[in-house]
Amino acid sequence: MTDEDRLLPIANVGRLMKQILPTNAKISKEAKQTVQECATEFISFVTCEASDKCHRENRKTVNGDDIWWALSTLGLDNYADAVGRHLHKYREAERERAESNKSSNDSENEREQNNKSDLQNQPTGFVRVLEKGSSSSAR
Amino acid sequence: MKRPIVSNSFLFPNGSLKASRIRIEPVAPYSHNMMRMPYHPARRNIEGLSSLEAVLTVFWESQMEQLENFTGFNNYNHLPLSRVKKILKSDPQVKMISKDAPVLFSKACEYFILELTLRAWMHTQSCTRQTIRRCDVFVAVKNSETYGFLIDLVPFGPHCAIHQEKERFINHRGFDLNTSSSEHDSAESYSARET
Repeated sequence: MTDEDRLLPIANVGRLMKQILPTNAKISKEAKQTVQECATEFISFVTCEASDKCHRENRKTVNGDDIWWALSTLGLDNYADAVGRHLHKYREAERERAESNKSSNDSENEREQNNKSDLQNQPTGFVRVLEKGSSSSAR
Repeated sequence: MKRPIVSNSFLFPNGSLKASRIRIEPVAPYSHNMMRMPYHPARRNIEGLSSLEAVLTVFWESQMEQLENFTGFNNYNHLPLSRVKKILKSDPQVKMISKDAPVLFSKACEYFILELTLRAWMHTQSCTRQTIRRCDVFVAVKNSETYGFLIDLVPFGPHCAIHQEKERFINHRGFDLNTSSSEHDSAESYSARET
């Protein structure tokens, strides 16, 4: 993996930084690069902790609960709180999506062609995450 | 909200001043329209606060408030999920990741970038500058207990010419311009190097 690939894209990082700063604030290129490296290291650090937990529990898949646990264990309580709420909302949305799929599948037996076009019109980001099946977390 | 964009005026060789051009560029309020670089909702509440602790408290309160109104994960992601996934998989111990992991990490990372930027900006302001430099980020990392895992990315000692100049002034005059611990640390490490 090249250096560019192993880091988060600097343009995205720079845009995020500007969002929280006043209009008169400027950011040097080196500062953006440093934040880019720190953010990438943040992901790696939390992932390492989460994957250690999975390994200890003989699980192969790192899931949202492991991320939440890792953030709490590492003292990143604000992040754990926020991620916990996101996880809750994500699972709610997934349940609603599954239920609406189920009801659309029931009527799909009656109207197969129309349902195919309905699924194609769903927001692609949401479908991309869910269409390969539910989360593979071990319970 | 509108923001004036003023191009710098300059002197002609004969001494006359070219008038500045002023154009008004509309700045959209926070929305998912990234073409206009929206500002974070917390920014309005944070402006005017002088203490780092107050700024961070308001920042996290705003985040939690926003989460209550969160509409769904099909909204714009500030960080590309494919790249987040690549970083996750770069760990040799990670075999498989669930579908929610990149999305959650993307959000956590957004918060991280915002918080680190805020911390750095508070230091930038304490040095009466308006440009965040690398040394501001370094000081933000060093002054935070929660960012201890980043300490290896951060070099020790004075980091930039402006800090060195300031510390030279402090040591020469024998008093502190700022009372923050970061300034003390920098001054002490600098004077330690000098002796």
